[in-house]
Amino acid sequence: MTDPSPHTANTTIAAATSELAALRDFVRSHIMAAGFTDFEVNGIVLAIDEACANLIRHGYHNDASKTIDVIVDVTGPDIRIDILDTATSFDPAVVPRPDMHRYAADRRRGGWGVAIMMRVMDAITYTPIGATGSKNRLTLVKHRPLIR
Amino acid sequence: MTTTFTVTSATADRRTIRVAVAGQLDAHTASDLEAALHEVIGRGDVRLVVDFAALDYISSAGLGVFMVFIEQVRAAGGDIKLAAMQPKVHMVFDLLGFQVLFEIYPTVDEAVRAFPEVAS
Repeated sequence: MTDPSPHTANTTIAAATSELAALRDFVRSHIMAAGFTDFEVNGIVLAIDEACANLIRHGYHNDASKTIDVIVDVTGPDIRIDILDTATSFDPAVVPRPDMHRYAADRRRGGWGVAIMMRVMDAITYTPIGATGSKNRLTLVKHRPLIR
Repeated sequence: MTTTFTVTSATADRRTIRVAVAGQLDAHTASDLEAALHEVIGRGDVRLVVDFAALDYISSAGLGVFMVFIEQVRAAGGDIKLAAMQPKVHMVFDLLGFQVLFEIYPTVDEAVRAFPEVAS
């Protein structure tokens, strides 16, 4: 289902990697008519997958009783995707850039997600929200093309 | 919705093993690939060509699986060569600069022929 008109949409997934495929379909369906190339759509979908996969594994430790809210906003000159969770706060901006050769030598299988997000999106901001600061919002922004 | 991913392996020319991946390779299915590679490499097969032709999606969790094994395989005189990626999958390898570590070929046949011949 593709909605070409300006709109917002939201979904809630359990903190389980089995939810990621449906989440990717959800994000794709809401941004694919926003004027991006297929290449850009694939990149944005990947960035959201990476953000949520990190949250599921590192934030929630695969506790599927926890949830993640994802809000896609396709109303302005930028598309904006908010990811909300109640896990331990985590700001991707503090993650060092991965060193490919060192990762191979160390047999590291992870640590790429933030690098992907940074390269694909135009802006990523982390905001602690809520009275206790126990809820987090990660906002990923991509400028929409003016003329294609 | 369940993520669909399959991995199969078969012998190919030049004493290589063709590992064919299909579907979506993400944080949910990466463990399936890791188990399959663990089994192949555990048998002593270290000349591997991964056929990506039927793979529709990959995230960094999928890329990470190859990182786990590459040093071990090369130390044993082999390699993991990657082949036949769709552009949307190749894009992810490009994003992270994985060409620095992995040889990526347009076709499986080219990847197989990139291995030195073995005297029989």
